[in-house]
Amino acid sequence: MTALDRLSLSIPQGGVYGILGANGAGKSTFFRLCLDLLRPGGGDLTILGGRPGSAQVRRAIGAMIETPRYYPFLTAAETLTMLGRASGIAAPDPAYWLARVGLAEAAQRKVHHFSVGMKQRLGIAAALVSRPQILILDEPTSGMDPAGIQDMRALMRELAARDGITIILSSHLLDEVQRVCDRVAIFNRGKLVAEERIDALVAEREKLRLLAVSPQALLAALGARATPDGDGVLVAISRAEAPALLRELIAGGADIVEARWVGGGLEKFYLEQTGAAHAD
Amino acid sequence: MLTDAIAAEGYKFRRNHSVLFWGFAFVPLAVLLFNLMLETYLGLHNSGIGRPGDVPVGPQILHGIGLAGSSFAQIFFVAGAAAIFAGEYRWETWRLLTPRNSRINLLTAKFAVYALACAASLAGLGLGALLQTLYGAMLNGMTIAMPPAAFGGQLLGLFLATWAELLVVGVFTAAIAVAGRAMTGALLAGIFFSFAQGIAMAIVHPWEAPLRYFAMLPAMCAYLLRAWASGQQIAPGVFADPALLLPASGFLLLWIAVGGAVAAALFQAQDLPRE
Repeated sequence: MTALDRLSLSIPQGGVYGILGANGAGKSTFFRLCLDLLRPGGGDLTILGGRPGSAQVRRAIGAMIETPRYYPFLTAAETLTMLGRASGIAAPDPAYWLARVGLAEAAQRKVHHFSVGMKQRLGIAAALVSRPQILILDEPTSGMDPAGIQDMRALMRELAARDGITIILSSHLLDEVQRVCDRVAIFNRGKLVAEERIDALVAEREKLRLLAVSPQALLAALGARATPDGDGVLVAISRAEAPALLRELIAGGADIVEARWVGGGLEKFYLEQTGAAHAD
Repeated sequence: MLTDAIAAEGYKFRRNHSVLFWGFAFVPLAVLLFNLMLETYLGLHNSGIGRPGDVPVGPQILHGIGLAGSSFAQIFFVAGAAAIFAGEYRWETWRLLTPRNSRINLLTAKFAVYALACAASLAGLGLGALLQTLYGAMLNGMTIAMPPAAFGGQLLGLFLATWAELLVVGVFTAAIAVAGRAMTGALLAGIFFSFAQGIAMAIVHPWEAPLRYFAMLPAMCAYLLRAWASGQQIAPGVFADPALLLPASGFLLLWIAVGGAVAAALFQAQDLPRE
């Protein structure tokens, strides 16, 4: 079975890069290849100009793959100290990284007693302890409560913006990916089926939905730009054009009750891409 | 770097108290406790009489260290080796370590930690034998006979032979742990390896075994080297054949090198999809 089939993907430095795909699409295989946990049957993979497993790449990458596992006999602080030493960090500063992921209070607790969400947080701290340039996060919010997910989203944006870390993220939570990522790639059955900037992707697909007392009057006023959508009207324009259009319609006497953007979500794009690939 | 991997493995090992105790501290402690109880019993039994003569401390220490060559003692060393080498498979933690250091460094660090732990355990056995001798002498009103000048060489030779035997057991367990990716399998295979050699040595005696048996049985090599180092007879009136010393040493080193190389080669080529 081919887990990744002629995959060609270049990930730009900086920002948050999302990798999406159904279970078995090849996301985890891709990550494990990057980390030298798996060896490719063929092809080339270079990270920052080096091969996975080389000293140069090991120093540059931090990763949390799926639900992280830990040594039951170590505390959170000891876990980070041990992993930091394995990375060649003489003074790993576990307290700083645990505070950064919201685990300062649990520093001296055995990891064995941690909840899934706490293990996820510790996994991110463990990935960061070697101060990597690239951070690979496979389902980082899995098992977290809504507040935890929000914290994690803020942390990822902060790491990308303040620390300059390139984050490569995989998640099934498409809304989260849309909120946090700058670019997204979609894998399907081991192949890359789409790669796009999130803002461009959203702008291309979203439409302004207007709800008015008289939809027929709106349709007549908008002409070819509008299509009926139930009790409303969909207008294919950009966000920049919206204020002028609304002013024009109101000045023309349209009784607009509601105006909102629809159809720009990542979910629809994702389903289109993976659905089209299924149809092949 | 290798030093980073050793530092991390050592840090982890020092905090794994159950492995530290059962793998490497239990044998010296249990032997010491048993011998102290025995000395106390003998002391009480002979109360007020006292045993005449000197207690030779040197042979007692050599005997104490040599106890690590027994299959029963090696059960615990195998348990320690299985925990060290198969722990990452059991806890699925290779994914934490392999992105941080090279695989060869990570495995070499485990060998280094196991080797140091065995050395410390052997030192503990020697120290325990010394304490037992002092305690027994004090209890029975006996004097200590200081070891001869040659004792240093004897101690070093016996220590190295026993240490090498434990390293053979360790690399064998490591190779099984990597190949099988399971702690229980490594533990059982290591124990079987140790006991099978013990049984073979009961059938094929070291003083009459052809050279090929020494090649197959590292425990026999270690036994011969221990006997030679301590100047003990291997059978009534029979001493270790000096002609066999070099091959026996070579076989022990070969077992360590081949076992370590097999474990390293397997690990280097191994996919870690789950761990």
